[in-house]
Amino acid sequence: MNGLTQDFFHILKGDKSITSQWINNHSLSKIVFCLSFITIGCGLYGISLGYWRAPMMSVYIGVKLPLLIVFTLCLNGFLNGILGMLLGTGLSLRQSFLSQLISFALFSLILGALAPATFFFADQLAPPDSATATETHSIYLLGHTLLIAYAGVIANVQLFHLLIHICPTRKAAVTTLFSWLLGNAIAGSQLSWIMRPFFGSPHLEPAFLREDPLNGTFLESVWNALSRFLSTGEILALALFLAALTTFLLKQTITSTNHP
Amino acid sequence: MNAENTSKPPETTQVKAEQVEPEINLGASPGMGQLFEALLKAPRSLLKHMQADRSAVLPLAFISLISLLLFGTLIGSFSGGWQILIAPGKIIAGLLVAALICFPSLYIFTALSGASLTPVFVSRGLITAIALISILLIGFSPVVWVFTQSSESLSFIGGIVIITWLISFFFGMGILKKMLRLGAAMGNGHLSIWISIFLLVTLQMSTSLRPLIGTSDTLLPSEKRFFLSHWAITLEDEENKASGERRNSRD
Repeated sequence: MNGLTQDFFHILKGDKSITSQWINNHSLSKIVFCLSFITIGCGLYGISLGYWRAPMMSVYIGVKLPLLIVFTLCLNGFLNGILGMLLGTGLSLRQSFLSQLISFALFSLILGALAPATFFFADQLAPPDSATATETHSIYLLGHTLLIAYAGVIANVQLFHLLIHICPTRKAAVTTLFSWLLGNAIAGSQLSWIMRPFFGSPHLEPAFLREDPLNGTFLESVWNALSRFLSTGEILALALFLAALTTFLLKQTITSTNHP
Repeated sequence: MNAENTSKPPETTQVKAEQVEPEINLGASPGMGQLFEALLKAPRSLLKHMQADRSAVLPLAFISLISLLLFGTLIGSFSGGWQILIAPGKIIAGLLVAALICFPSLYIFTALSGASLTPVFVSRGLITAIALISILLIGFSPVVWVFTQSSESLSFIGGIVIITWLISFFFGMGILKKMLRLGAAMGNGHLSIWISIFLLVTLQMSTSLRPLIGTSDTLLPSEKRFFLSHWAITLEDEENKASGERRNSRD
């Protein structure tokens, strides 16, 4: 294994000294290395994701999933760097960018390692033209959402440990992570809406992008979906409750005496 | 009684649990009997031996092959005919493919746990786990055989086989947890997630390679199904068949 790969597996194991060494001695080779992991890991997982719907779909998603990660980083890179500096992490723009790149590379490595298993399920489930296609698609969607969420949580926990290690205060680490997550979630969800489909509905033809991809937003579609069950007032109350819960959890994390 | 002696710190209890397992020195080329004993009584010693020495790998793989062959023959004998030959082949191939496709994620998840283990050792750990599963399946075989002789219900026998598999599987996965501890892991939460994934893959594999205990005109199924759907359909079909027979006997 070459030096960078060995280092990366130490980072995977949670070796904070190697991770902070990477952040402090950032170089183009490390950025290229992380981008390669994102391309390969997310590419392989994307292929398994799209395969159930159609082989061509696997090619489309194998290309789109790594692009989604890269576009999200590029869209938010500057903003996240500024927030990192404002919130007292002490990180430069490049260091903030590399921290997040490492986190996404970990995310891609986990998903890439799961790709053979997810490909097996994609091959073995009832096909999209079968009578049980709708139920199968739901199981498929749920399974992949759980896996992606799990990989995302692990990658962000590692990022959190890194920030705790290198930031001068716990508050700076927690608020910076939260702001990066929020920014990436909003930008990422909208980019995924524009670049859909990613799962491939059995009732729609496979396509690289839907017609008129810039029409509509992810948040509007969530609002419309909620409006089928809740009134405007109830939706606003739910949003306020979630915001209050998030603030409470944030405060708890900042003031927690149990350091990771 | 002295109150100070009644509560023990958790570390002492854990150390004591680990010390219950005897230490066995396996030597340069352990025999089958030694390996069998070590696998059941002292898996930690076996894993420590395998960290530096690969001489146990082939014998363990051989033990797994023979055990799975015998178990497969047993469950194939429920339907008889060609199933006696086909079922063991499918079980061995299915488990091998499941292990291969889940191995990359096993290595990554052990690394995520903070364990310092090489991919080679992780593969040896997985082979050891499969060997233990196989031995337990053989251990359950007499009981399974009794049920296959007493029942004609596919879904009932299928249920018995699945329960047997689940029990053997979870014992086998204990080997991987011991392997993780050898690598000084910080916890086994990630391994537990991997174990769930591997279990799902093996259960799906049993459906993808069906029938294992029934009969069919084709070697492999023409229709793809999720394993839970397959179980539900099989139960429903048996229920319909049974109620049809009850109606006929009343007529």
